[in-house]
Amino acid sequence: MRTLGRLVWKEALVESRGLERASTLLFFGAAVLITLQFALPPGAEARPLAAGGFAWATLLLASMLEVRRTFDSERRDATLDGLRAAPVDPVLILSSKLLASLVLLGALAAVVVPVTAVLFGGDLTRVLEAIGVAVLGLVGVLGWGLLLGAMSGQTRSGELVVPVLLFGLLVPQTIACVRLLGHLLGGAHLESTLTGYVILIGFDLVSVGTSIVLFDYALEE
Amino acid sequence: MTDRLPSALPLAALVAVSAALGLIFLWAPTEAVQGDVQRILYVHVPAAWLAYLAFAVVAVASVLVVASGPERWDRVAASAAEVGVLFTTIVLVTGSIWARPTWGVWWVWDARLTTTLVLWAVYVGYLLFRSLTPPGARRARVAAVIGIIGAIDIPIVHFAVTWWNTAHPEPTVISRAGPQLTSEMLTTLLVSLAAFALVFACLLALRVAQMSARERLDVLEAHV
Repeated sequence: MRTLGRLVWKEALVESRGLERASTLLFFGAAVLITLQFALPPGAEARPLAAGGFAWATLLLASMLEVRRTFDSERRDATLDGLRAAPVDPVLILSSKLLASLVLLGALAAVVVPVTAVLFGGDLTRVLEAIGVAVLGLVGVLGWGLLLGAMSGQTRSGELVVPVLLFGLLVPQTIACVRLLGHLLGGAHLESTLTGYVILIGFDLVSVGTSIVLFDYALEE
Repeated sequence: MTDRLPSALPLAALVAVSAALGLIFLWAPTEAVQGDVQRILYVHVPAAWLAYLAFAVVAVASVLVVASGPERWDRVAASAAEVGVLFTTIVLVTGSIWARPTWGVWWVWDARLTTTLVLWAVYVGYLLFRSLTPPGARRARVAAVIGIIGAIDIPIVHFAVTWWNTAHPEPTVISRAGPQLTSEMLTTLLVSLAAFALVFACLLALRVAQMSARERLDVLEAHV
């Protein structure tokens, strides 16, 4: 636990020096949201219903940036090799990356979800629950995303392949998040919210679990 | 899995495909409600089953790459993915051709169609990664991880999209009440399935043999 704490602290220190990742994610999220809002005319009845989908699209695109960049600085400075050579369980390396990225993207979700609700005329009364849904969705994205991001950094095709693969693999999270956020923010009809939560949490467990199992093998030279 | 293509296999596949085409167009009865367009299902259904088989082969071969090293099994995984993508493309195209006169649209975001499209996209991504990455142990290792993740993901995708929506017809061959086809239709479907299985085996063996020969050539070229 202490090692994990130190690794997370290292991530926080690196990020605090330039706030490079946080500021990029924030401006990228704003740009995506502004672009998406042109898809529907002002006053269209569908705007609140679309709020959930637009919020998730913004967060998903931002997370694609994050999973690629998380290991970039490690590779640039060759510190990943140092970390792997140190007597540190590889699971802890992945866990620290996951926690750091989740804090960044969770903060982005805490801004994007209410802002989307406001911009699209959605319901703000259940916005906290909606942020929770978005964070649950992001855990699953980061599980497989960080694994692929770490592996792809070692190949020249990584920047192209990670989004291509991830968008397909993340369809269950996308469906569950869009439906639940659409229900919470726009009042869209949903037969069962429980099934949505089962898909979200089940996918999170599978995604993080397989990443933990395969992480060390995937980074072997 | 042998690296040589058995010479009888292509011949058997050719005979079986000819027999299947004869049965589909000359012997199988015309379906009362759907008409002649139903005949496309003799291609669509076997292609779907064999696409699933191909991706199961990718998953098993990927696990074997992780367990015992990339030699041989990486070639099998890559070949099966190529054949699987080919068969899934056939499934999507024939399904669309069948849907237009039957449902009135080329495509609906139904559970099974969406799952099949996602399946296709994931393994196209897998092949894209392989084509853009230099051959070697590194590529085999990453491809194996993607192959395993893809296999784990598909049941979850199916569960999620089923919750979302479904309009696809219920299975008519493998159902609790037994096959819902006439004996002529069932025979035609089974012959077509056998023909597709032989084509599948033929393509898989041919591609594995090709990749093996390519690797031996690369080794020879490196020594010249």
